[in-house]
Order: sequence, then C-alpha cells, then structure tokens
Amino acid sequence: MPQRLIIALLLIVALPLVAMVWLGLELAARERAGVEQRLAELLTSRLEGSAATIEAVVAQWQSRLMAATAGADGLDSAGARRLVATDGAIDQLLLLTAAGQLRLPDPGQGLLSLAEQAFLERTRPLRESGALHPPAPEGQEGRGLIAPGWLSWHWGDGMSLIFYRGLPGGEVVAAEVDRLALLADIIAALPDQRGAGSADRIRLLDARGRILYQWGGYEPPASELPRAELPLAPPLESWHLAYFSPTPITGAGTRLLFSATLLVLLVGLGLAAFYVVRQLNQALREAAQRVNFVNQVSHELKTPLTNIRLYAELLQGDLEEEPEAARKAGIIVAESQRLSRLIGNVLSFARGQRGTLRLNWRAVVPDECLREVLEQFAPGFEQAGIAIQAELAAPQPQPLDPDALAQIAANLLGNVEKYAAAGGRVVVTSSQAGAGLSLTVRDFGPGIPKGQRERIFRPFHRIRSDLTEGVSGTGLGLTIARDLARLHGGDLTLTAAAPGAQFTLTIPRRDP
Amino acid sequence: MVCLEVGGRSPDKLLTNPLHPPDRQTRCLPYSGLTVRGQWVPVLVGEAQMNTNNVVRALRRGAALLALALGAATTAAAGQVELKLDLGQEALLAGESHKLFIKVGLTGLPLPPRSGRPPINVALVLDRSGSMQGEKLEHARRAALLALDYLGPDDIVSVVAYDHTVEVLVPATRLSDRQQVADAIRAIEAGGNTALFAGVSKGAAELRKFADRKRIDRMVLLSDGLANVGPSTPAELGRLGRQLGGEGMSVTTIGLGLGYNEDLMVRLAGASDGNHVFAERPNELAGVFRSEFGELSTVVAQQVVITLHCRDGVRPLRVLGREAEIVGQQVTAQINQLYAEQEKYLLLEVEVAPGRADQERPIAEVKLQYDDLGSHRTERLQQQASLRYTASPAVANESVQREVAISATEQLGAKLDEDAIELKDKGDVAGAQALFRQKSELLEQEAERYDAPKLREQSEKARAAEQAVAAPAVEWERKRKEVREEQFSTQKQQSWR
Repeated sequence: MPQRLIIALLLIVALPLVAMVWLGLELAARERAGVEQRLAELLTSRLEGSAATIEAVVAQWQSRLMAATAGADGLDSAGARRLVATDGAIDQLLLLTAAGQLRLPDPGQGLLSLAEQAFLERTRPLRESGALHPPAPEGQEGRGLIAPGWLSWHWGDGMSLIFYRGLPGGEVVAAEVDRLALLADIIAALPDQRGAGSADRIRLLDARGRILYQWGGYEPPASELPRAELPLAPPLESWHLAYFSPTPITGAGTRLLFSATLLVLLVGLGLAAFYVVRQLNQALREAAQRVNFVNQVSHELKTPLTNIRLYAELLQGDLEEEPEAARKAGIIVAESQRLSRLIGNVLSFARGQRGTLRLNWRAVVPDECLREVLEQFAPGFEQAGIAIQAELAAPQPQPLDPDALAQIAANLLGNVEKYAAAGGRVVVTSSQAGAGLSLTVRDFGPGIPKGQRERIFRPFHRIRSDLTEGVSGTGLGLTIARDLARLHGGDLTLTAAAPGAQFTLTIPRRDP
Repeated sequence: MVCLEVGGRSPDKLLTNPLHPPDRQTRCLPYSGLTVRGQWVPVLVGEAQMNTNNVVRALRRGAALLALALGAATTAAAGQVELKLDLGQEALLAGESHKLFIKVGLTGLPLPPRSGRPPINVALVLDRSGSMQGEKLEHARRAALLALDYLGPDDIVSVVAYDHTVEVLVPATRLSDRQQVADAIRAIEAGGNTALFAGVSKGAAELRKFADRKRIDRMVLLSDGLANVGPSTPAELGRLGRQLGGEGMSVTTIGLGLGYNEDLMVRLAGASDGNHVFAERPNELAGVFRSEFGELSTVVAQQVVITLHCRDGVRPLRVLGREAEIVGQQVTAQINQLYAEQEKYLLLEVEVAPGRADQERPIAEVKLQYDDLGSHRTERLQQQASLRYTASPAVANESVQREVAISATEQLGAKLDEDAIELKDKGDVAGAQALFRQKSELLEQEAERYDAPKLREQSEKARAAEQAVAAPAVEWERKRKEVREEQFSTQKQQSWR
C-alpha cells in the first residue's frame, strides 16, 4: 500500500480527533473558567462573612479605644500611665499637641520606663512623617477635629497597630495596641473546628503567608492554591483570608461525556479507515490482477503478431509488381507495427510497475533509429495529411537503448497522429551536443491546456476534450516515454508552444 | 543575697558577684529584717527563730511571732494577705553609696473554714497533635478527668483541644453535667499539627465568658510539641500571656515529654503569672493536675498590684525574677493569684546614696491592692521601710537580713541559669559550664553562711547541670527543661513541681 495513502488515512482519522480534542479542551477550559469564576464569587462571599466577623472585632476594639481615650485631653503623665495600666487594649499611649509636637510620653523628664523608651523609638518615623497629624484639607479654614484612624506598619517580626484620634481640645492621642492581643480576640470570634461544620478550610494568613488561624474539616496539601482569597480591610490590610475546598470544579460527568464522545468518534473513524483500506486493497489487488492479465495477454499476442508482421513484410516484398496488393500488405504491416507498439507499451508499463524495466545499452546512432521510426509512421502520416519535417542532426553513435529510443519517439509521434493531425505538420528535430542527445517533437495541433501539462505524464491519464473523443488510446504512452527517458538519466518534458505542443527528450551522454 | 561594695577593705569572705563588674569585689553582710502587717512595725527576728529548713515555714513562724507581739492589731487585719517589706540590711556603712535588695513578701492566709473556697473558672487546653498519640493522650485524658474531681457544681469548666485547628469540645459551662464533659474528654483523638496560639486564644475566649472577680480564672495548657501553626515564638506567646495576665487569666503550662519548647511554655506561664511544669513521662500528668487543682482551691487573693515608691536618694536598678515596670522612682508589678500559706515576693535592687553615721533614711514605701476572696472586696495595704547609717562595719554586717539574702541568692542563681542556657544555646559550652559552676559555688557558700538547705539543694542541681552541658544532646535537652522549670519556679516562687 502506498505510503502516501497511509499518511492520508492517518490524517483523515487523526485530524478530526485532534480537532475534537482541541475543541473539547477549549470548551472545558472555558467552562471551568466560568465555573471557577462563579465558585470564586461564591467562596469570596463566604470569606466576606468571616471578614465581617474580623472587622466587627476591630470595630469593637475601636469603640473601646474611643471610649478609653475620650477624656485624654490634657492628660498628664501619671494619668496616661494609669490609662495604659487599666485598659487591657492599650499597650502604649502617645499624645501630640495641637501643633503636632510630642507631649507624652515626655522624654525630657528622663523618667520613662524601658517600654516607653522603646515605644518612642519605634514610633519616631511615624511621628516625623506626620501620619498622626495630617494637614488640614485644602480650602478649609483652620483644622477640624482629626478623624479617628488606624496606622499599621511592620516592625521587627510583626505588625504594629496604632489607633489615633483628634481630641476636642485639639490634641491628638495615639494608642498602640498589641496585634497579638487583637489576633487572639479575632481567633476567639472566628469559628472553631466544631462550629465550622464544613468540609472546606478557611485560613487567616499574614503578610508573609503564614497561617495565623484556620478552621474547617478539609486539610489541603501544601501545594494547593486557594480557591478564593480576600484581603482584610484596613488596618489589617496586610492579612488575608483564603478558602480551600476539595470539590473538583469540572464535574466527573462532563469529563466522562467528553471521553465517551471522543471514544465513539475514534472507533467510528477507525472503522471507516479500516473499511477504506480494505476496499482500496481489494481494488488495488484487482487492478494488479487486471494488469497482470493484460500483461499475459499481451505476451500471448506478441508472438503471433511478430509472425503476422514478418509475413506481411515478406508478402509486401513479394508483391512489388502489384501495387494494389502491395498497398494492402503495407496496411497490414503498418497496423501490425502499431499493435506491437501498443503491446510494447503495455509490457513496458507492466515491467515498470514491477520494477523490472531494464535498458539494453548499445552504441547507436540516434538519427538512424529515428529515421526508422519516421519511416514506419510515414504511411500513416501521409494518410492523415501530416507533413513530416525532420531536421535530424545526431549522427554520432551514443550509448543508449535503441528500442527504448524508438518507443519514446513512436509514442510521441503516435500522439501527434492521434491528436494533432489538425495541425497539418510535425517538426522532428534532433541534435547532439557535448551533453548528449536532444530530441524535440513539435506539433501544431490544439496544444495541451495549462492545467494538464504535468498530469498527462501520469498513467491512464487522457485529456478529456472533444479532441480525444472517439480516439482510442491506453493513456500509457507518455508515462512510459518519460519513464524510459529517466531510466536513461534524461527526461521528457513538455514545453509550451503556440500553437500546438512541443515535447523535448534529453538523454545525456554516458561514458561507456 | 545582699551585697555591699567595699572595695579592697573586705575582711570577710570574698566572692565574685556575676552581676557586678568582675574587677570589683563585694562583701556580703547578713542583716535582720522587718515583718510588718497592716502598719509599719519593726520586729527583730533572731537566728533561733529563723533556724528552720524552710523559708516559707520560717516566715509563718515569723508571722505567728508577730501575731503574739501585736495581739489585736494582727487579728484586726481585714484581708487574707500578709505584707512584709524587708531590706537587705538595716544598717549601712556611712559615707558610701550601696546597692541594696528590697524584698516585698506576700503571704496568703487561709480562708475561714466555713466560707468555702472561691469558685474556679478553668479552661483545659489540650494538645491533640499527632505526637500525642497513644500513651500520652491516654494519660492526658485521665489527668483531665481527674481534674474534674476537684471541681464542684459552682465551678466553670471548658475544654479546648487543638491540633492544626482548634475545637472547643466543651464551651464554658457550670460543671453540673459532669458526664457530658467527661465524655468530651474521653472522645479526644490525636492527629495533626500544633496550633498552640489559637488553642490558647480559644481557651481565653471560653474563660472570658464567665470572667468574674469572684472567680479564679485559670487556663491549664498541655503540650508535648513545638507550636507550628500561627504565631509560635516564645516572644509572641509571651506577649499573649502578658495580655491574658492583664485580664486576670493565668496560664499554667505543662510540658510533656522531651519534645516541647520550654522557652515558649515558660514565657507564656511567666508572662501570665501561671505555673509551669515539666512532666517527662505521661504518668506524671495525674500528679501534676492534682497539684495544680489542689493549689487552685487555696487561692485567697487575686489581681494583686504592688506599687513601690523609692524615696529620695534611692534609685531603683532592677527587679529580679518577675516582670515589673520601673518608671522613675516607682516600681509596679502584678501578681495574679496568692495562695494560702504560700509566700510570693518581689525582689528589687536599688542604689542608696551615701549618708552620715547615725542618719536615718526612709528607703521605700509599698502599696498593695488586691481582690480579697474572703471579703470579696478590693483591699489595700501599705508599708514603709527605712534604715540608718553606721560607722561600724560590724554593725552593718550584723544587720544583714537572712531571708532577703537567701531570696536574693536564689534569684541570682536563677539569673545565672538563664544566662548559662543562653550561652549554651549560642554554642559556648565552656561559658555555660562556668556559669553553672559559679552558681553552684555561690549557692554552696551562701547555704553555708545562712544554713539554708534549700540553697544547697539548688547548688547541687547546678553542679549536675554543669555536667549535662557537655553531655549528648538528648541528655542536655532533658536537663535544659529541668533547669528552665527550676528557674521558673524560683523566679515565681511556685510551691509545687
């Protein structure tokens, strides 16, 4: 079976499959993206519930701090310390004057505890940046009360949190809270394992992605990415919530359906391909049998035909005195020659198919060989009204197969006789250069349509046109001619000519 | 130990104090003290009365003697707490500045029998990480069930179990349905990581539900492993502990086996003023829970705030053992709970300005505020102390107070433990050994001087620790936990281990 056919069949099977797989994956990916999107939205809304719990704790702390610092206007050092000592939420306290100057803790007095000194040190950048004392909004006369707010920044291995607010007296009070205490409160407010009651896992993570707290019945593998994430609102904006869920996104059903469709398609296409291969094999076998049959028949015909030809030629010699009878014998000779060419073609083709086509090399003068052929065709051409114009210039002996050369020339001239008789003449030119023999056969018939110029060399191909209607032919002539030319190491080509067609045979000179 | 800097004039025993520059030598002089209750009354306690094997017992005798001496004044005291303000020396050598220890001793007095013990609000926070599997968890369950026997129907209990997540097995509830709590404890299964921070946070949330000044809030945390989910450093757990302590919740930490992080457990217990125990084998847990809950039932006062004001010429330097805040002349510290017949103390080192011979100098005034579980009121006590200057080294020497000296010595010893562990952690084996040796020598010497077997015992332990520093890692791990536990119980005067 020809390789090309196998490739073609494989492509016929593979291409739809590939297309189907691609389409399926594309659709699945889009569907998954859609489902993921919807799921992420759903899960994000669940995370929002947890975020609301956390924000409520922060809000609670804020209102606690608002209440604790309500009377902080004009607080003295002892009062501030009392506030820090009694209020569990406040770690340290900072009081700025209306002008933004540090009032408490007062480093000038030199009576600060170590904790207070460290606090002043770590809040220095904060105080100097003016973050606690934002300038009055533009276009506003004087400064209003500074709104309550939070500041968070990273200090050491964790996050520091500062709550600040303006006081009616114009001062600003800032309270540092322990983020760990806040975290402990947040953990207390969030569900525990029992309260979670779900097969999913929610994690609260810090800025570095470390787990601060988690709940839910699902333990995701370390490499698993969260299905949804939600950053917390300020002042805990560096923390975020992450949702992990074991539920597969593309349902097993969809995947099964897709796989089943793919399988059915694969089986169907495979069966079709198998059927085609079988049919083709059968057809090829039958064709081979036919060729074989024709080949055998041709062989069988060859011997009697040779005898017919021999005796017809002898008869023709004997009838020199009787022109009418000699003419009839000449016709027998011509027709038997035609028939033997036909049989020669069929046999050559069969050998070509089997790969047993061989050349019989001999040193031959090409022109002699050509002249013989032209002589054979002379009566037929004369009858068809075709004038032969022979310009033979290849008188040097050259190694080639004379039978093959004759067959090529005969096939070309035979085509002229059959299809280009309307042109009224044929020009046969031969020449011999250093490179080798060149033979051209130019007719002045209807020519060969552009699209057919390569196809005419294929076996069994015949141009379909009014011209070929009713003309007998095997469609093998040009194929064999080209095969033989190529066996010589040369070629047979069609060159465009107007009107008509011109075939050029080249046979390179071969060193003996 | 009370140390007087006297340069090269020292005629007595010389010893090198690790906390002073090594080129300066100090001479330590024994002094008598003041035992005061309700009002400032100086009492001289002779050597004969103090010659007992146990400091606490000695103090009680002192109190008894005081009661005899003061009669109605002692019995008239409203509270359950006895306050003593002792100076390291009653007399200082004139013309020099001195470093002096001040000891504020607080001793709980038993509640009247008919009043019953105050209700307890306890959260059991149990580690159920994978490493607890098997015998450990079995003993933990059994110990927790045993703890229930110490609790009555008025007490509140909650049970929290944690691995990589936290589960509140029993939300805070009155112990009326004992069976339900017991079932929850029996159902605990092991598996997972160690989310210690979250476990403590949830336990605290359960305690808060019934937080009440009349109740004793206590969390009992059991862990056998390294915290690895959530904040997990000793510093972070220490901050959480301080926060909880500030709210009146103490965390008792029980380290089980050799795998837990003793630094973290000690910091958490220390910052929240709870107890800490190292239970190497699971079968020790029952005893630990028994002691913890036994002690809990003897709490007589809580939310104890000590405010000490140093008078002019007295500069506070540092507080040994406990967390305290020093601001200018004022020192503030908090103790969450006081137990009957147990002394807890605050030890402060000050620098006293030079004075003339025979000059009297007020040293300090201490104010005490606490919630009295007998009277259910906030009680206040106040004391002052002063000393005089003398020209005679012998008088100054004579005035050294034995109790203060013993307390100071053991605190210095605990500090040496801490420093030695730090050196060993840094890989300085020789340095750590030197510190342990220094401790054992110091304590041996002082035990001899004050006839204090307790110090001798500690000295021997220090010698064993010195050996263990260079021992294989496993042995040192065990010793390190023992030393931490010892150091903790010395610093916080934990009465049981």
